[in-house]
Amino acid sequence: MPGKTWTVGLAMLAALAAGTGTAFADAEEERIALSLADLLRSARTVISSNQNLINDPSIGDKGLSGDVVVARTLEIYRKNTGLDPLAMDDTSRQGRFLRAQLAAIKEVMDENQATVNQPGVDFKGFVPAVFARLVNERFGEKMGREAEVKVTAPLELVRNRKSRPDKLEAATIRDKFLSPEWPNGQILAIESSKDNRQAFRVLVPEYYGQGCLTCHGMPKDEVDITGYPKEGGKLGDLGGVISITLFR
Amino acid sequence: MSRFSILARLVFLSAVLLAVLFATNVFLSRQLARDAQILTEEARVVSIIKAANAANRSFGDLKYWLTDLAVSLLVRSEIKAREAEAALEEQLAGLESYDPETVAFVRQEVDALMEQAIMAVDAYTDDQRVLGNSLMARARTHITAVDERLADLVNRLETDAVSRTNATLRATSRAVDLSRIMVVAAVLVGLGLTILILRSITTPLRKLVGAMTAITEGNLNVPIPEQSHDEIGAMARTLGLFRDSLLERNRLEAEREKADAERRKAQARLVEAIEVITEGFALYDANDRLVICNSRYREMYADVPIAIQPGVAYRDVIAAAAESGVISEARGRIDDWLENRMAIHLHPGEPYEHQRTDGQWLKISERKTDDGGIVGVFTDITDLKTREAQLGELVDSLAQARDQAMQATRTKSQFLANMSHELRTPLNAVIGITEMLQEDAEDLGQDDFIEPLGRIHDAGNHLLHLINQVLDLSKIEAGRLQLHIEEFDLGALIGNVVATAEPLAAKNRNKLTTDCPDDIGMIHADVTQVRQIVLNLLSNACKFTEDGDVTLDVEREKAEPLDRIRVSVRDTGIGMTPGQQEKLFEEFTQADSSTTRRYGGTGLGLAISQRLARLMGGDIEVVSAPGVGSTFTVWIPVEVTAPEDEEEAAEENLKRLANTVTVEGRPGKARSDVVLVVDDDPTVRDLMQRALSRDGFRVVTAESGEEGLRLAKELNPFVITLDVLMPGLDGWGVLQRLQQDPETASIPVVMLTILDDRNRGYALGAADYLIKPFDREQMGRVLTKYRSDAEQCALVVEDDQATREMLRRLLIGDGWKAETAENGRVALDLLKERKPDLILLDLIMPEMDGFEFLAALRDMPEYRNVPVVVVTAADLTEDDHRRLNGGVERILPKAAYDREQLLDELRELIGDMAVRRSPVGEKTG
Repeated sequence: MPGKTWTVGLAMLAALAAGTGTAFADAEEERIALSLADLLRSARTVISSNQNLINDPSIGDKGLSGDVVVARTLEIYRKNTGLDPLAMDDTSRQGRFLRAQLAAIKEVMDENQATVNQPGVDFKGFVPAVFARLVNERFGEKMGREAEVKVTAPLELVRNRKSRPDKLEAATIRDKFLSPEWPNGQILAIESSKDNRQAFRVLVPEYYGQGCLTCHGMPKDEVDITGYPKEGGKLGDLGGVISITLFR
Repeated sequence: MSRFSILARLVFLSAVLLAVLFATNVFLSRQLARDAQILTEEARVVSIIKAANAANRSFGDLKYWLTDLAVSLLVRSEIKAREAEAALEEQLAGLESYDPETVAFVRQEVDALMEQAIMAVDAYTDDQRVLGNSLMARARTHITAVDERLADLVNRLETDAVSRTNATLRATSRAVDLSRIMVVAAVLVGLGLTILILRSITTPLRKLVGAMTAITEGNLNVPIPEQSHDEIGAMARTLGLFRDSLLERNRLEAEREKADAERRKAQARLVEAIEVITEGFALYDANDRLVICNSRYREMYADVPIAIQPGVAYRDVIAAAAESGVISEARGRIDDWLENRMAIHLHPGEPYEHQRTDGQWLKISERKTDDGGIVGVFTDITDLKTREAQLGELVDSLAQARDQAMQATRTKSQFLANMSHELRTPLNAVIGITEMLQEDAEDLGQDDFIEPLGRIHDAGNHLLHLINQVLDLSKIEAGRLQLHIEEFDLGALIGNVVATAEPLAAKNRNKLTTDCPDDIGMIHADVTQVRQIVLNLLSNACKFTEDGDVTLDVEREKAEPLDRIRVSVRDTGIGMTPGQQEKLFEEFTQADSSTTRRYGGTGLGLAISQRLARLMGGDIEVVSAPGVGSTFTVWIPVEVTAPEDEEEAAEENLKRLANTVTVEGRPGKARSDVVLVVDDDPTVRDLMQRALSRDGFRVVTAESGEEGLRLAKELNPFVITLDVLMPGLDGWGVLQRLQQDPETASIPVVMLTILDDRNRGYALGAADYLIKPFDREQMGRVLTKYRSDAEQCALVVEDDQATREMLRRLLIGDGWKAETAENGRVALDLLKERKPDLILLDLIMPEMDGFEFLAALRDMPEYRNVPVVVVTAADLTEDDHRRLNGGVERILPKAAYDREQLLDELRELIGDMAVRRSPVGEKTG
């Protein structure tokens, strides 16, 4: 279920991205940013689709090594976009960024094999959101001077302090994505600054799918499997934002 | 205590108990209020302890969540840490008032802790773990400081709370002990007072109950407890009254028994008395049932088949009597008789008589008793009836004798009337002619005749007086003197009598004093007889007193049934002995024979006066002493009652007379023969004076209007000539005033003026209007007309020639023209020649007497208003008065006046007549 949701969300994102009439450079930047978002989603879908496996205390090695996850991610990515990151020019910004993102996915999975494969423990806290945050942190370590990917959310939905929105993100969520007039799924691409550096920023809204509501849905404040109280979200509510920053 | 009422005592007790209760309540309330304050303070400390503990917990939460945040970096942990911080702040705010220093310290430390902790978390979030650890270590120092201070605060608070709780417990325990003492004291005081008050009530009450029980058992001599001022005292007094009433009742009961015994005795006596009555006696009750009767009553119905016994109905008794044929009247008409008899029986009035068939007569006298019963006395009047029959025969014969006697009396009365007329008429003539002869003798200087003529005159008067008195007494004795009652002014009568008596007083040099109140008013009596009585007393006083005082006192006195007039005549004359006084009012009696010789008189005056006074319901008394004087007092009721028919006739006469006077009368005086000329021009006045004097007129002139008005009133001229244009009051003004003044309104006024304004003159009332210059002939004609109009004409109708002549001379002397007639017939003939202004009429005349003349006169409308004065020597009966029927102006009985008085009366009367006859408003021209 979660995989289906994310697939629908990416399709919408692509459609919306195609509708944005920006200057060519900006369009390139936007395309790169959206491809990073798509790849992250693809990897997250892999984790999501293997959540029950990961949570199975009876199985030790789950077979989800870095390579396996990268391969399944690429498979999903190609299927959704028709593109192959590995076929891109590895000197181009998009090629470098996507390869760095794939490397981050591989490293995170490899570094957390002990956790994923810990027998006797059902829920291990290795969920798509934690996986995505770790991937993004590793991507930042690799490409931090050129680009950043972050998954944030409305402040009241943020669970980890590292995912707190910055000013632009918070304002965009409050004034645009939560506004009834904002077309559902429409992204925001904007030239802005971050950490005193000029950047092109793309914010992609994500909405709760049915799978998301297991931990973020009703009843509100009921403790979910992670030990955190549910936020009381409903199907289609704004659940998060993928924030891509491409420094100039 | 017994001085106060029970209610007051109970109120006092209640008040004391209420006061104790109130004091206890006040004390407890104050104690409770104090405890409540302590508890409130204690509660405050507890709440502060709670707040301190809560702060401790909140700070624990804060520590936990900060630690959790540092490890998990979860936003939720941060939120929880912030919530814990906020809760801590809230608790600190509650503690601030208790220990602001500690609170300030904790706040400072918490702020520092938060700052360090968040910085540490941020370092962890940015993956700066070393820095984070360092910062967290710093933060822990603040945590330790806060923990210590909060623990210290909680310890102090708990110690404080414990000490407060102990203090509260001690105070409460003390209050409870004190309130117990107060309640015990209140109970003791209330109990004591209750016992005292109850004893003050129950002790006398027990005594009172004891006394009541004794009285109830019949011991009325038991002492009544001492009477206090409270309700028990009132009960004791009431019990005393009750005991007294029982004693009184016993006494009355004893008296009643005694009275009953006496009543029974009296009843027995009454029954015995009824039994011995010779007449039948019966008492029937309200239901007409026999109650009691005597044997005589039963005997009367012995032959009737009915038992006469108590309870039998009266109707049954008489029905049985009627049916058995005992009652004569009832034969053949039993039912009618029975109904009639019962009607009389049930509504008793006059005694009822009936005859029985055995010849017995019964007189039944019945009366209703107060309770509706009927008591009857049945008398056998058979003997009485027999005597009555004999008496009836006797009465018939007596009635016959009475008729004969009355006829004789009438004959005697007629004789006396004739005698009075026949005797007094020649005597009046003798006296009148003698007077004329005396006057002639005086005029002719024939002095030798004067003295004998005087004696004839005196003798005639004495004889006339004697005859009058004898006739009066004769009439009184015969009961023929009829009072002519009318209302008159007593003051005027007294004045008239005194004026008459004054010459008599002067003759013996007596001083006559009168004391009569001005408001003595009117009385209702026979004016002639009153006058005669008073004059007689005054005459006597003047006659028997020389050089002394005669006093006349008149008073109105209160008396029953009517007020009365008291007239006293007091003199300082010779007086009388008691023996003389005894015979004083007997006829033909004076004090003694020597008195008659010395003082003259008939000795009839006082007898007549007394009888007249008594006839009017009054009397005369005398108080006298020889040589000191006498006081005669006469009383006359102010309303003398005459026999009914006489009274009515007199009343009728009075009314007619009053009507006549009202229509025609107005006081005034006779017109003079003067012509008054009013003119401011001396030439005209002189000319008029000379010319009119030559024509035989007496002329008086006035030179102004004012003088003319004055002279007109003074002289009463028969005519006035009046100029118009005069200084001051002009002729029109004079004419108006003359017309407005009743005294001058009738004088004809002839205007003599140069102004030709006849209409105005006649409109203002002028009789004639002449234009100057003065025409002597015309003026003479006019004045002659008024002079002849002014001459009053009187007709004297008198059969006695001497009297006729005397009256004629009297009238002429007063300015009248006089015609004479010797009887009514001649007078009627003379009337046709001229209508007289006054008729003086005798009543007893041949051919046509005064009554017939008067009737004929009143039948002729044109003479109906001619005033008629009757001057007669005859004594008028009430019947005579009725025949005159009020149609005459005045009646002057010659017998009541001597000649001079009669002439005075006539002069006054004809003076009035002259004025009345003046043609008011009738003008010539």
